Amino acid sequence: MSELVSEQARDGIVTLSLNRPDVRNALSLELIHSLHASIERVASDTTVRVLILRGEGKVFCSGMDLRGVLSDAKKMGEMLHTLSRVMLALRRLPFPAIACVRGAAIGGGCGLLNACDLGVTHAEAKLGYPEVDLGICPAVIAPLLIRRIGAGRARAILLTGGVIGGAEACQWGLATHLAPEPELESSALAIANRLCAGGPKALAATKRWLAEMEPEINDETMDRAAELSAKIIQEPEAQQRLMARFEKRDRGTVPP
Amino acid sequence: MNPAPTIHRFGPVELHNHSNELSGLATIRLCDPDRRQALGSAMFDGLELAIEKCEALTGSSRFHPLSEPPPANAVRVVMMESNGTTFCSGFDLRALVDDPDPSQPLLASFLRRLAGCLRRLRALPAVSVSVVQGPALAGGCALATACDLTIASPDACFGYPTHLLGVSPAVSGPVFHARSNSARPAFLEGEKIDAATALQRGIVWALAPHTDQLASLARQTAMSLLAKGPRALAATKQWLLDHDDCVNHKSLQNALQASLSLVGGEESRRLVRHATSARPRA
Repeated sequence: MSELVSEQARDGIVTLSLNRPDVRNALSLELIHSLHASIERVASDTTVRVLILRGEGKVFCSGMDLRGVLSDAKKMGEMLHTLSRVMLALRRLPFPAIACVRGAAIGGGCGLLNACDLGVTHAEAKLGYPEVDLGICPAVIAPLLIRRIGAGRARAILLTGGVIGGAEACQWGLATHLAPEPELESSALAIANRLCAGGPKALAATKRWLAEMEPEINDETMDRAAELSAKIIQEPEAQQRLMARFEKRDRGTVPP
Repeated sequence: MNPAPTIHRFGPVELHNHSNELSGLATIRLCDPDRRQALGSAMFDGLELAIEKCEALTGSSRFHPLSEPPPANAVRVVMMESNGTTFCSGFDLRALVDDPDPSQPLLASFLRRLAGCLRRLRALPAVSVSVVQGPALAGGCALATACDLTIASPDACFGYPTHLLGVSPAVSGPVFHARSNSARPAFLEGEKIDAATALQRGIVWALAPHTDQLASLARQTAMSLLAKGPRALAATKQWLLDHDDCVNHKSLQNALQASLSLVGGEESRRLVRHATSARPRA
């Protein structure tokens, strides 16, 4: 178990919690590596029937923690490549994964939501991909999002940037279930319990079949996506916009 | 106050190249309200020239969005709108009836030219936005949905009543299907989709509260898109295009062939004649 990702298991349901609540569970390189290791370990555990992915504190995940790696092209590339592997690992789990989204799921955080099979959130949550506002290309998430909500809606969401409310996100298909905020975790657990009632072999076969129908979501595509995103983040447009964003955060005019 | 945009006129189509705070925006405007912006030969001529101008203004042949930034001062947002109360009513049926050749070469030409416009609109490295008031039907609906986003007024409606003409809407299928999973009722029933339903189905991205607020919504949308990172926006659009298996060269070509396969048939000639017989000449 890692301190960045905590793990609880009960009755075949494993809950992985992102554990950096002081920075709204921003995805640092270390956190992404820890999450990847946790998912790989859980994937090989034959007693697991459902995975729930959640965040400690008030926010599921505020996106990539780029501050420490902004000027380090190698680390940036590693970060995006590992995140793409996390998403593939979630897609390839032999059992369903549910994201339990409280507060916000932004950028890479919203990517984690869409890599899971199901996502439960609440109406007041903020979800979305503001990458283009910051000069970043959300290439890693695009193939998954196209599959999740269709090419037209993916185009609208990724090109217009910004964030949308939880209820609208549910209408658009970003999340699959809406629950009142205080009941979020019990709702995710109820869904997990329903899934546990199904045959594990049937669920595994169904997930395999669904993955086969998404041939474009593969290692090669995700590698190219990570390379593209990493390359564009290194260019002046993104560097300037991100630095301006960090300065605003330091002044306290935007959330951490 | 913004200075007037530079206006290029191509018959019934205008291209407005904006400046100052709207610098980076070009607007294609259909300007034949008396004929409900019908897609006839002159309209296609104008559209093709306007799209060609947009290709030049966006620098589409001068850079590859995945590997380099757009040229400085390139147009980054293209809007398509119309004056009057109809966005575009589809093919000019009167011209089709007046075409004496039973093999319907004019209909075949319209289908090919529409397919060409859809392909070129999709491929623009700028974000494209259709601004729809009133009906956007058949080829008009195809033009609207070929853009990346559609914003609309409450009186907008969308649909493909083309089966009434014995014409298959297949040519428009890829771009509509990429936008919404409601292609079957739209194409098979010829259902007219009102603006609120179009919003629910993902055909429309944003709806103005009132018709007279559509221009303000269009301006707000343009300003918002122009504020994004140009490099990131162009790369994201290209990456999305590369991973959209609904709309690619092959799917558009197959769709065109499916529509062309009915051209010149007795059914199509009879139904086009019937559809225009009740209409007064424009």
